[in-house]
Amino acid sequence: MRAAQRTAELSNLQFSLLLALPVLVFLLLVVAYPLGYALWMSLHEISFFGGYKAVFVGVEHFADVIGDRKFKKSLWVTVRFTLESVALAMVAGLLIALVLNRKMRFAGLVRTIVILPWCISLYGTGVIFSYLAKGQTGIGTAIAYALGIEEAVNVVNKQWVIEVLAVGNAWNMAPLVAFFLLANLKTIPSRLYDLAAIDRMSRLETFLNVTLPPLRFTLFVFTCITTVLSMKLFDFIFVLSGGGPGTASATLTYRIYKESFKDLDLGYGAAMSFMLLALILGTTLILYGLWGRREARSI
Amino acid sequence: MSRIQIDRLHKTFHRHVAVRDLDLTIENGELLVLLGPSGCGKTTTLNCIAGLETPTSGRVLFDDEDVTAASPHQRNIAMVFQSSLLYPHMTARQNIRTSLAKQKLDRAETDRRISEASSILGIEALLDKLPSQLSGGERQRVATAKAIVRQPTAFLLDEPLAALDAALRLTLRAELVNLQKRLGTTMIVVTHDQVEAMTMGDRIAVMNDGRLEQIGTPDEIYNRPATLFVAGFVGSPPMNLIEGEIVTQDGRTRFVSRDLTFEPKLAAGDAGPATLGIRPQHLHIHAEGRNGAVPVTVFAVEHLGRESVVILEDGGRNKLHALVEPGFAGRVGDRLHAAPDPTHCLLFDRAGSVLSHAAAE
Amino acid sequence: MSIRLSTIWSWLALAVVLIWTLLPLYWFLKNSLLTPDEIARFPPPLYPLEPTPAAFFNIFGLDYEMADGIVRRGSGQANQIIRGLGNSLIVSAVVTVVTLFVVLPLAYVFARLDFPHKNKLLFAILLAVALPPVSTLIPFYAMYVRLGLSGTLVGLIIVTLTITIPFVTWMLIGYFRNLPQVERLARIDGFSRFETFLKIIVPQGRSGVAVAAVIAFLFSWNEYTYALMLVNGTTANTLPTAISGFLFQHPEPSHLAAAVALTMVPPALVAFFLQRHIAEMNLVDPVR
Repeated sequence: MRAAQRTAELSNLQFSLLLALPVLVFLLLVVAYPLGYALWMSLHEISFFGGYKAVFVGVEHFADVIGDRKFKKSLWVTVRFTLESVALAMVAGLLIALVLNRKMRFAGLVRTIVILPWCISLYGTGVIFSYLAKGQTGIGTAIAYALGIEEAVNVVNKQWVIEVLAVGNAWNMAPLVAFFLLANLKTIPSRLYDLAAIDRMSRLETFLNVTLPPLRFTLFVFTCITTVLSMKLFDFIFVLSGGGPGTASATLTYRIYKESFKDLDLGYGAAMSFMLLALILGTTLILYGLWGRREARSI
Repeated sequence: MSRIQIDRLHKTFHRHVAVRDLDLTIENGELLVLLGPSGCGKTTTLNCIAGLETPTSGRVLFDDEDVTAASPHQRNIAMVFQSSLLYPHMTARQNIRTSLAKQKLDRAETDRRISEASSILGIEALLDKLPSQLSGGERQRVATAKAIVRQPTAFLLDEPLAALDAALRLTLRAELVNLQKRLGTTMIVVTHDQVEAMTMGDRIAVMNDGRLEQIGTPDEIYNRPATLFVAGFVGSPPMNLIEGEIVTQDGRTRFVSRDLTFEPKLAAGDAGPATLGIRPQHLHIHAEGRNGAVPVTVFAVEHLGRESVVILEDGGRNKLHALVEPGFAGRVGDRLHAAPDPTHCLLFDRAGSVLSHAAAE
Repeated sequence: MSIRLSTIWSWLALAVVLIWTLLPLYWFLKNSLLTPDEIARFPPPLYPLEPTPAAFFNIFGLDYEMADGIVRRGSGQANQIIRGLGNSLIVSAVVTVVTLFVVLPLAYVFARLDFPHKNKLLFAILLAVALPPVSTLIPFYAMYVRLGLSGTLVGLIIVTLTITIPFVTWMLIGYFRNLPQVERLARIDGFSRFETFLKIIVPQGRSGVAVAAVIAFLFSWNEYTYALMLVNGTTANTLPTAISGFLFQHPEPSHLAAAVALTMVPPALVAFFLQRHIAEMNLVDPVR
């Protein structure tokens, strides 16, 4: 009797397919279709004037992009913005995590306040920081006048606009970093701090030998995450500086937007967006090769 | 209630062989302990009996019916997992009730069974608590109640006591055995703890590296180990194992090692490399050297109250354990001599199989 | 003595963290309470001298009579704001529900089961997280024009799902992986795999499910890039794109600030919940 009953249970594969396949198909479509379409565009010269026309031009766009001085400028802006954003976000995140890790009253309230910047939108952050940093409305101006220096302080200028963007971006990302680091900090047994005290470690030594080691893999992962987020960031820059003044803050994302939507040079924009994708993936891979692999092994 | 047979069970994961051609029969109403070190295949075997894993080849039979392809639920077994796994978001009562969710019982019967099971295990007061609010021992009792409400054909327990502290383990293992005997249900317990195995099992099946080393009553396992592995794994303090060889000369068999020449009172084996096994209680300590004794140095003395364990080091820095009277006065560093009792020793051949037993005790 | 010093330091550090967090918010949001006089003033005032909630009425098209009898007229963009608010709520709600529906099984399968090519598929999901929206905009735009989806809520919902699904899946994989292995228990109890998932895993992971829902809602609520390109200026305008009207056309800082404050209401409401549970999501595990 029982022998005749074949098991009614599904195998892992059957069950996984049943649950995940439709979604995976959707996901692959929404990843594969835009990528495929963008690839097609990047290999064609598309024109709208005098009727829609698409002419195959091979890798010409890619060659043009590589030789384009504006592209190189944007690449540099992106790299500088990303480096500053990531460094700031990681340091701010770590400091916030260390502060939150202290026992204190109203911890829930403090943490609720601290996570706010991450919860609000990037365009909101853009508006907020443009009011904070521009000369007409900025806090710099207000402070300067309060101190008797009667001069508008505008930091959204050619020299400092990238730093303003980086601070705003870091302000938005740091809470996420902080909360995950905080979760790691909480797993450090307090006995280890007692041990460090017995060994008469200084504060710095304690930080380096007790606090930091368990955080290292998380730091790596969030360095990757914040790098990717910074490189693909668009709306925040669009709202805060619009790529300006001039092209001082025209990151690759902004340049792609401009080529594609303003100048309607779709093939060129698409070729550039592959460069950006290559930059994002390349940087992550390099980070993994130089840092992540070592951390993953040490766990 | 059922008799469980395992017929040439073979299980591989990718390339790793977890269980090799295992034959095993668990009698109706028996409490069998599967004993072995971690990774020996005992849990895989249990999972195959439960139906959680499908054997690569071989069959599982319940009362002579092939259930190899049946789901765990169709087999109507109950299982208690390592560290008494329970659904963390359900109260104890809900956890127990879930066991009966698919039994098509009416509500009154369900409630009756739950209250019966909880009174047997004395957990009535805990029924509305979440697993996270229970202590390890309480969780174990709830998991057991969850197992017995179903009135299963067999109980399968995977390291049920491993996560508990020593005192609690002692109490709970007696409770489990008592329960099993009262209910008369077949029970299979997986453990790596040889003391647990000895105290609980009607029979013990010792596994190593996917193979069955020996199956037998605790007495057989302890006094007549079939292999070197069983001899070394069972017993606390462990059996002393001395490597050497068997020499046959003038029709007499001698065991010769680096420090020891010894004439065991057992039937002659073939000459060749061998291992001498001797339980700590059969290793006698003397102040002066004599024939058939190893010169040793006292490494440590452990006083257990009723007796003491002396850990000795021979010339090759091998550790030997000996049981002595509580008044033993030796100190660390003392030079002594340890003589195996020739009537209570075992010899194993190079492959680890026992050559012959000394005269039965 | 040294204990005191370290206490002072930790208070100081806390103050720095709070200032870093709150100062930018305060500096902007104070605009919503300023009178037109104060807004026109240079240098900008440090705080509202006569705080007035007029802007919060105005953005909904309501007039507000100030204490001195001057009436501040409702904003001309009020109907856009109101429609944007409605659209944003619809899009976010639908995206949240669909995301959960899709992501829970997907993340579960990736977290708890083994199947061929799993790592490659996981990589595809992470790739989807890394794709810059500006790169996928044109293809989506082209497709939408052809399918008649541009300027529609449905179109915006689909495109927003391409953001929420990969990210939330990634979050939940780590979360599900760390739940106890109760599947075995459920099999013994006779549950099918679907029942196990629906009746055991989802209820057991409800805090993770809630975080997933909140994140999906926030991402959708905060989405701007796609909305800007695909629905801006149409009846499917969302709140952020409606607000862009203030930004670029009629500079009215108090209305802008009030409207942005409005967009911050949902984030502020979920912040308390998120700070408690966000770290249960394990972004680190899946990449290990």
